[in-house]
Amino acid sequence: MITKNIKMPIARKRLLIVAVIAVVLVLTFITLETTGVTHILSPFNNKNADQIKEDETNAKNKQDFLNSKTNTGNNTTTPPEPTSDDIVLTAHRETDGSVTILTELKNYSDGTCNLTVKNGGDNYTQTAAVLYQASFSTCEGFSIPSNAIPNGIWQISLAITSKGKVNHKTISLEVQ
Amino acid sequence: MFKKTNLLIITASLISLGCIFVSTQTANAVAASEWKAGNIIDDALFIDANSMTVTQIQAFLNSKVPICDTMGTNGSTSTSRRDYVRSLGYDIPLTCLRDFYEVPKTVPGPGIPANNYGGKPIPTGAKSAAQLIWDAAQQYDISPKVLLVKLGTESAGPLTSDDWPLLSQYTYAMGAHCPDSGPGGSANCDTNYSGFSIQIAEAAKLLRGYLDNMTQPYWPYKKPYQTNSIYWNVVPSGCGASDVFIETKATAALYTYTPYQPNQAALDNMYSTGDSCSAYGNRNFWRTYNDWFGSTKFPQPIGAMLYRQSTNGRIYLVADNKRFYISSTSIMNNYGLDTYSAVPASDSTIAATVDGGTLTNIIRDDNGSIYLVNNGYKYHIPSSTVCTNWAISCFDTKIVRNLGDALTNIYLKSGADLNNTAYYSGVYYEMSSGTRLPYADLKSFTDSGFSTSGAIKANQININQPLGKLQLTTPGLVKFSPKNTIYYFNGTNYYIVPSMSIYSAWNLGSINTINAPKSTYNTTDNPTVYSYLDISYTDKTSKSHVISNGNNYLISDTQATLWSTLNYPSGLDSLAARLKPSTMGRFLKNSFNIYRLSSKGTKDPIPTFNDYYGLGGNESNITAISNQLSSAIPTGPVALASGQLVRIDSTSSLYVTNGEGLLSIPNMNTLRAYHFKSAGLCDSDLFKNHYPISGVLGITRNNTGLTYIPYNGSLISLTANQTISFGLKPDISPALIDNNFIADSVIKPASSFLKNIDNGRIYYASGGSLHYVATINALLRYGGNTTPIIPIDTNVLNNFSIKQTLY
Repeated sequence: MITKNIKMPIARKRLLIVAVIAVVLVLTFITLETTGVTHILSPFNNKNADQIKEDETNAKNKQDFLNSKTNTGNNTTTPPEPTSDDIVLTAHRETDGSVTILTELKNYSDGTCNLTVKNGGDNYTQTAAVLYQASFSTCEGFSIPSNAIPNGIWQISLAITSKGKVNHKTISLEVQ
Repeated sequence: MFKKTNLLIITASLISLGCIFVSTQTANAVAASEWKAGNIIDDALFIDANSMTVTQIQAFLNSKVPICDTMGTNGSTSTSRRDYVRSLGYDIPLTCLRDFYEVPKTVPGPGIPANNYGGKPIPTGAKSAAQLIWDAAQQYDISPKVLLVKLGTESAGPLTSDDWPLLSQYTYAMGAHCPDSGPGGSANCDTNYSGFSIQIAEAAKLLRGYLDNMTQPYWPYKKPYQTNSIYWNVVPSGCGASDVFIETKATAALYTYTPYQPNQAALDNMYSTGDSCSAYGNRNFWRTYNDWFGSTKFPQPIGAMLYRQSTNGRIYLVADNKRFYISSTSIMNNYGLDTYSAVPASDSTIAATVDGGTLTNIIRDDNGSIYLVNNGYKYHIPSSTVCTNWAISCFDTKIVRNLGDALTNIYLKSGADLNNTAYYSGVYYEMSSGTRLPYADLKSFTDSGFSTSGAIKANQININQPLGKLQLTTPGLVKFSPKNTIYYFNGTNYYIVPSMSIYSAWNLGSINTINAPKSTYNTTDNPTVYSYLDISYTDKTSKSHVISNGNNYLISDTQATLWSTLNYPSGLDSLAARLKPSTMGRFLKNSFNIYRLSSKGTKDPIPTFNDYYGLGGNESNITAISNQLSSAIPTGPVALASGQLVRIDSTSSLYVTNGEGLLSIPNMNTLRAYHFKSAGLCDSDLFKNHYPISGVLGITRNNTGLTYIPYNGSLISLTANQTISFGLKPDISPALIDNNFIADSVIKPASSFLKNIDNGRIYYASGGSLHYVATINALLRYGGNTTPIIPIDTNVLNNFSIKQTLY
């Protein structure tokens, strides 16, 4: 009697395994893509709620920006030209005896600060760059050591040079 | 083969699946609850200029805009982007950031630098946006990630993700030099800073400028390591502000650059807009950094950065722009720096800081106060004495470091003023003249007036003073390994325990054993010894005691004097109080012998049980003593009970014991009269040395005054009056005996009439002498017919005086 070999051919079995695995991979990949976990094929087509919100916000901001005529490359308005009134100058003595000069500079984008502290024939000078900040700029540091300004009434003058123009501000400080 | 192939297929599939998942491991979205206004980003991340290469930046830009809508073909169905762009006065093609090149504008001035926007060729000298970002990062030591995020949050579009940007979006891309001086606080840009390259560079420069100046006293903006008032929106909005303690310099820089914090509405709508008071700059920075690059957390100590020099692995603490070399993990641990990861730093980054020397434990603040740093705390050193006690060089500028205000006053927590006590590894110490004195235990420490709460828990690095002597107030046993000597400490003085027998005598196994910490007693020094411990002591009333078998015996001064081999140290009352107060009996026994404790204090050996019992010994008056105590008690003469018949050294001489002497026995009649028992054999030396022959056995007398006259196998007893009336001769001195001496004798009372059995003569005792009764009449006249007549031999009769004859 002839017995029929009922085993599946090897090639067919291998093909079946590959097919099953391929289906699993594809389904996994599709799931990850559609849920926004991955963005391999279509990074912008399948976005989660946060990304959609972010895109909408960005689009609105861009629209606002483009609609604005004040900040486009071809339509800029320069900040107001600073004056002496835009310089706020204060000084106070630290516990170690040194004197700190505080400056608030409105409408200054850059420039140089020249500090002069005078008392009769004595004077002390320092120079610093203007450090820009959106609300107001400042001079990049004036701290006068105590031995540079002995007791007495001192005239503290600040000259800001910016874009070829100079503005001044002077205050008095009594060092005790 | 078939199975192997299948296995390979499955393995490859799993790897593919894993790759898909791995590729998804990007930064996660953040939640409002994670926002911390005082710490938007840690400094180490903020200034990590090498966090991305140019290639990585370019790849990042490419990933954000995979396809640039150059021709503006996308857009709504009604209007294409191209048409919209043209309606604004621009034209296509559009150039995305990923493809943008510009000639760097290095000096502020009007005009936009040459670039390749709109499909123009790349100008000579132009650099890609990625390169410009990287250059700025390198020049100002700001992370390119920070610049990318800033670009992604400051620019319209934003440029980083916009696939159809207009040139105008590049012009003030970073909002640098755009003060809030426009209407309603709106931005109003300085045209000298127009252009993508200068915007990127200026943004980095400003951030660097903020970082470098913000701790100076003249700084008018947001300050790190303190509470700042930060607005919710521009001042004209009237939305107000809230206080924020800014924990990092980077956060302060961000608030200086964009001086607003997000309100709750902005946070609740993390990816869109909040309400009219919402500001988004810093929220978006934080959110975007997290989304793009992961956590903004890379903690560093407040006021400092921990750097690892990449070329040699050296670790530095950089504070106040000074670098302090960290020479050991101990010092790192002491400052609590070991919980921080060091930031990789190039040689140039390290060189840009001022060399502050090696980090030490001694710091001073700007006011000149000196502190000891210990486990993340700073302890103010109040006086030079404390410096000396701790062996700290408080005034040596080569040792004392100034680490800047923030690290000193904020990062380092404040402890109390440093006193002279410390706690380390289970031991309290007192610092004294540069020496570390260990306290044996908590009680010893508090007994000395110290408080445990006042002792700082010292880091190992602060406990390097040379050890001193052990400080001890707790009584107990103590041993200083590897030395073998055992000491008993009574709370004040040390006593050497010289032997295990002494140890046992005092039952020291049951007392407190002090687990003494290491001190010089373990090495070069020894405690001052008050005395050797002995089986004796003097109590606080100057009475002497001996110790034996757990008992405490009070002894007499005589005994103490005689027992002179014993030491009688004082100060042991407490130790002795644990022992049973006992009274020593009249008899002693050790492992070998029984003794009589004599009144002189000697121990007198008792040779036989007959003697023992004869001397009055019984269970109630014998004391078992240790051999050690026994050996300390001088041996006295042999103690023999009275009336014990002895024969010396095998000679025929017989003696009878009588107290502390011997009586020779003159004849057998006398022997028979006293009824002594069989004789024991005794060592002649014993008797020669301690037991003298004191007389001849004959007439004896006991302590009640009865006088015994031996006669014919019995004793005739005379009362004191009879002895007087009989007229015992003055030269007759009866041996004094005790009752034991005559315990076995037959006693017969004396009569006034005696009869000499040798010659039949009758004598009448009266008036201190014997009177010969010569006639019957005389016998009758003196009552001889009614009174017994005691027969007596001539030898006995010769002891009495015989006077007149009665007729």
